Amino acid sequence: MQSHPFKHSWVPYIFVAPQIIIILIFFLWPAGQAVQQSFYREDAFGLSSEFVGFLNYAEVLDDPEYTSTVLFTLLFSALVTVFSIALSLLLAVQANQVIRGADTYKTLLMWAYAIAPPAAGLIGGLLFSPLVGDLYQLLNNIGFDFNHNRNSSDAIFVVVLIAVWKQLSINFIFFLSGLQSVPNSVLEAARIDCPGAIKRFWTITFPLLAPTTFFLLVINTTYAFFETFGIIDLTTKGGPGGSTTTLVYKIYQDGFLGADFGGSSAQSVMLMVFVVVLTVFQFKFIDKKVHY
Amino acid sequence: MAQVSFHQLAKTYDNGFQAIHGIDLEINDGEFVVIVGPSGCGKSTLLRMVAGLEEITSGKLLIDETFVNEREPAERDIAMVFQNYALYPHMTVFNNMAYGLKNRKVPKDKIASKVQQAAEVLQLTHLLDRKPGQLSGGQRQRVAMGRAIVRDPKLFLFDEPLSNLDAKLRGQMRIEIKKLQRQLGTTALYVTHDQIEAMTLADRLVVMDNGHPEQTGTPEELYSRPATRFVAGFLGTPSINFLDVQLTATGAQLSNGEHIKIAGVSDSRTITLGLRAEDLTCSTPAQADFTMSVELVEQLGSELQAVGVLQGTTEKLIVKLNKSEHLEEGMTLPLKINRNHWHWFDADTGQRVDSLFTTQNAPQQAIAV
Repeated sequence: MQSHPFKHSWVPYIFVAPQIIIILIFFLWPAGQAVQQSFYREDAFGLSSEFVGFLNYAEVLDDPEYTSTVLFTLLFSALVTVFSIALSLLLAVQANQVIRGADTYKTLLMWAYAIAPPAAGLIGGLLFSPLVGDLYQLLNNIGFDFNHNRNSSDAIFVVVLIAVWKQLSINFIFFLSGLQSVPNSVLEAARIDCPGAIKRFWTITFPLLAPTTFFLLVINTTYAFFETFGIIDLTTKGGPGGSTTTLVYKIYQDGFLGADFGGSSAQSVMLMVFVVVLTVFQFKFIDKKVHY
Repeated sequence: MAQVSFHQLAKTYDNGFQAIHGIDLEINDGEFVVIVGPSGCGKSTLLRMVAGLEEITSGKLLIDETFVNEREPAERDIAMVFQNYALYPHMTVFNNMAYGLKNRKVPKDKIASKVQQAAEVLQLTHLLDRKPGQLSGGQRQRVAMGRAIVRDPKLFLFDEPLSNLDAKLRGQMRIEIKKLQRQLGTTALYVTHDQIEAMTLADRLVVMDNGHPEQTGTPEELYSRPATRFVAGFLGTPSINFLDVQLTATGAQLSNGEHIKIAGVSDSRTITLGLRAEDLTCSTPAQADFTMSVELVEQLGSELQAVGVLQGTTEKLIVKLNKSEHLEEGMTLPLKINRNHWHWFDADTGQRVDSLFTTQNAPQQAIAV
């Protein structure tokens, strides 16, 4: 059937309208405001603002604190993505082999998915609290001089641990369903062709999971960038000494606590561009190696 | 190339279901053995036990006199062709075929030449760079075959490899598989539920039912001298006619009262008579053994097929007749039995009975089973 190129019914637009409106109100409008605000500077009381061009951007880029935040964010998201993907893959492969009590085991592994990031942060904060934290006690009892309020590597350990734990469940669900969609006969053919189970996993199973892994890589990176705010806010508050401040947390600190709207807007615009570039990069270079 | 021996091979699942009840079988070097049976008879399980994909509960499996029960599938030197081909979807045709060789540390140039050679035999040369998703069913089937032959295994295992193909392609591939196996001389074990495939491919046939081997022999032996009622009913198209008869001093009484005269009956029990469609001929009422009511006449071109019942009963009959016979639907047809090719089975056990009559009436061809 040949449809007329210009005459369209208005009905389809009504169906997509709610989604479009949500995007307009909650994404495009604030994003536009952020872009606009990043070119202005407000006085301390928010009474007047003047156009300053790229001054906000230049100041942000000059700031050594910003550079260390970028580096920490990259390190943090790499650690969270790698560990949460690797561990959940391990767990899913093991869970896929369980026969007795498989459902219970799988349900327990998915449990943590139901926990909101701030709640996860709160739980983590309590577990590592110097006053009542069991893990804090344990680590110190077995000989570590552990204190995430003073030692930045300890603080990084805590936020990575909680962020990974929080993300494991969802990765686990995706890997498990990915594993279950690998045809049994293909695995059996591989058992005849390849004697080593580990080699079989890396040459057959893992390539067949590549679409899942790639998808998780994208969403885990985004998660580490944006959704770990609650965890950081409730455990380290970006400290000690800004060592666990991610880009998002810095935007919040500078904008809402420091009331530097122009500067934090400039940061958020740069973050937006950065994430777009990263995602494009992922699709462009890794997507080619993925067999769908 | 290898000899394969089953010594009381048995399989019981964890839930207590016994899938295979102790099978003995000797497969000779280069022989093509087909296991055939209805679905659920355990034939695929048996094949998978040989492959090592299914654990052997008891008994011994020997390949070239080596005990292989405990060996991993990859260490048994076998190759298997699966029903759904089981190609590696992320690898090209070349890599699909090369994978098994790579894992066995075969040098690269040797892999390339072996794959090339197999591809030529199977006419896959122009497809080596494609992935399985870009191939047709028949081509995938060839790749699966190629993957099996590049390794020069001791034993080929085929698990209903043709059942996903359409009828025409199935016929072609059947011939190709047989030719290839002859050419390579590799011992083969082939599982199918299709009796025509089984009859045409097999050097030797094993008919299985409910985890038991019913009979083993050449296709010709099994067809002309089925050891059980099940084997008689399973092999042959159209399937054999079974009539329940009561033996008397002068012959056999059919359920409609008609009487087949047989000299020297030495028994008086109820028994099942098996008659293949081609072993019945038209006759005169005076000489006939029994009468059939014709319900349908099918023209098969080279011959006629009459479908109906034993007159006055509901016992079904199918007869193949010369195409020059004049048949009409609704007529009664006097039939004579070819007494060299009748099969008698115990009504209870289903076992073949040969000792009912004095020798001149017994089936003449006495082939040892």
